[in-house]
Amino acid sequence: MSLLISGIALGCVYALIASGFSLIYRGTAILNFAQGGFVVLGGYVAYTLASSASLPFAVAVPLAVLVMGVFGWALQQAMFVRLAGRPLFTLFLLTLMIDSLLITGMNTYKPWSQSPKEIPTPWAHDLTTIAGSTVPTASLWVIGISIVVLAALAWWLSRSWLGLAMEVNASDHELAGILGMRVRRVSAVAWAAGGALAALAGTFLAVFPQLLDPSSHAVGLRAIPAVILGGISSGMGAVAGGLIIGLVEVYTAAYAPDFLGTNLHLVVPYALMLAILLVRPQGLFGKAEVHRA
Amino acid sequence: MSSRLGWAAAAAVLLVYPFVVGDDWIRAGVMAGIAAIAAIGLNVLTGVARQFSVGHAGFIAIGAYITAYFMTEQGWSFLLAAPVGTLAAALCGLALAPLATRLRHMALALVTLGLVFLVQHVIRNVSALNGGGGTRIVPDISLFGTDLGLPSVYGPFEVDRLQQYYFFVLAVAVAVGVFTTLMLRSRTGRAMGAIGEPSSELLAAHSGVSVRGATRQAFIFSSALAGLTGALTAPFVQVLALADFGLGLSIEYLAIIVIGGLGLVSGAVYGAIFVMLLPQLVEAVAPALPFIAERGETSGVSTTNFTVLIYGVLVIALLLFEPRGIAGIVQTLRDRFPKEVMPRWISRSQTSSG
Repeated sequence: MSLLISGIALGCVYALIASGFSLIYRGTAILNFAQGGFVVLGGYVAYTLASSASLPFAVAVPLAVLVMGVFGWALQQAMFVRLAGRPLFTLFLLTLMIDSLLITGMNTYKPWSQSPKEIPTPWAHDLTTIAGSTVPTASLWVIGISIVVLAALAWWLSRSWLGLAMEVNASDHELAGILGMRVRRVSAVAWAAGGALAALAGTFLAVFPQLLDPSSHAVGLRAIPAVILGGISSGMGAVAGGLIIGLVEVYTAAYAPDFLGTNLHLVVPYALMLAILLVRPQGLFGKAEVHRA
Repeated sequence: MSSRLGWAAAAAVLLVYPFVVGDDWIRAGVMAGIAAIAAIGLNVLTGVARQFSVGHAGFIAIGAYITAYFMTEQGWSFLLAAPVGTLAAALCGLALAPLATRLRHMALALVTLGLVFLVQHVIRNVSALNGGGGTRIVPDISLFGTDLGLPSVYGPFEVDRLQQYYFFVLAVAVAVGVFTTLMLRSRTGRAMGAIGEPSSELLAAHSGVSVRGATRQAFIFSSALAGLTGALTAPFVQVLALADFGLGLSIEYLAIIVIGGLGLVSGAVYGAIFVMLLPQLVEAVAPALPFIAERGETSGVSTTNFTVLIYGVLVIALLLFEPRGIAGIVQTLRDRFPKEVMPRWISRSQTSSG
């Protein structure tokens, strides 16, 4: 039971990161390899606000989410607007380099990287007993908040013109422009939302029982297999993929046989991604791309 | 004709370099030569055929650890072990090729991302490969009885370990550069270029190019060269640490080809030289920059991190303003000075030379 809870909690974090990744992809057709960097940066921003500025958790986290949303939007305004219409390769490399810069920068900034950080929460290190097993109360809150945020996101995208514009935008950028969709607005919102979701995920990575340090970046990267598993063109897919990867990771860590090597749980997501790419490249919930040639 | 002069100057600089600079700079030069080989490979795959790969570190690791295995555990000579290491990387490329041909462009980046972590996992857990303790110690290269690790005398020249490695790596890198240039001019190479032009796959296919075939060839070629770089790295650095073969290395190689110039053999070489010599350059100016940590000090920015920051910013700036990289800047400068306004001594040397 405690494994199930920690698997779902990790899965929720993956689902948040994956949703941001998928949102940016659907809004701009860019695979944002900097999402991992966003996550860690968001976590540190929340840590700084909650710990150094000693704001209450309920204030610090929304503030960090806001800061990272603005960060995503600013990045889009500064770089990706200029690069509209450039080859995908340029955009892909740009996100990769931004990621590399973010991580190196955070590694260099000693107040953050010197020791692993934990964000103080109202639940501290409390434990709750469910069905006979004890789990951290914070994990339950992580799951609860994630569900609320992801449901709100899904509801918003299904009800607003933005969700529709994203669908069109992702399938055909040029067409979206011709149809009068405000392509730039869509991409700005996508980047802002991507940054905001990453900040929330980063915060959860620094909440008991987890600790945040620059190597948490690897968690952000493992959200990529989650997106691919679920299907990048589907919002539902990102959430499902995140939960599956989270559960698989936790159960592999607990039950994997020794002969498969230590730390198998850290590569299982990638193995799953390779398998799904071979069998069903569009992912579990994705729509197959139609090629006419 | 002026290019002939340029080649002569470049050759002269490359030959004199290890005799006029200090050990650290020669070491950086050797690393640049080794890196140039894999960079040329990546530039064929990513620059020419436009398939995105972040898996270069994985192939380099395979080349390095397989070569190291045969040199240490089996006692093979480098000349036998290196081709095996290169082949192992190429075979891994071949194994991934079905994925590469099915999922092209962006999806390939995802597959190769997985590769980096899977290769790391295997090497971390197979003690025959990682040498047991996590660090693998590799002996020096020995060529037909000459140990490159020991100083030797060739006629009037006395050369030490670093200088011998320098010339050996230079020879290999030049051979790879020439071979790749010829390959790119061949039917195979032009097919790779044809599928790489944005949105011209259809055109290429209609001109009789096998899109899958060309993708596969580019992928295997690039994996093999990455393997060769790994094979050369192992005996040169002598101590292999798995952490050095992570995603960061792949990003470094992507930075190399963007800085140098996408799709050009010369671009890969310029980029490799720039990125590999950059740490030395940073070290040289470090005393003037208060925020950089001295060697062994923990406060301030480490040289390695500062180097990564510099080339990261540089790549972003180049992507935004000069996507053709150094090779593009060189081209622009050349166009700005047409032959008519060249200094007379250059134009005279042109007429006399040919």
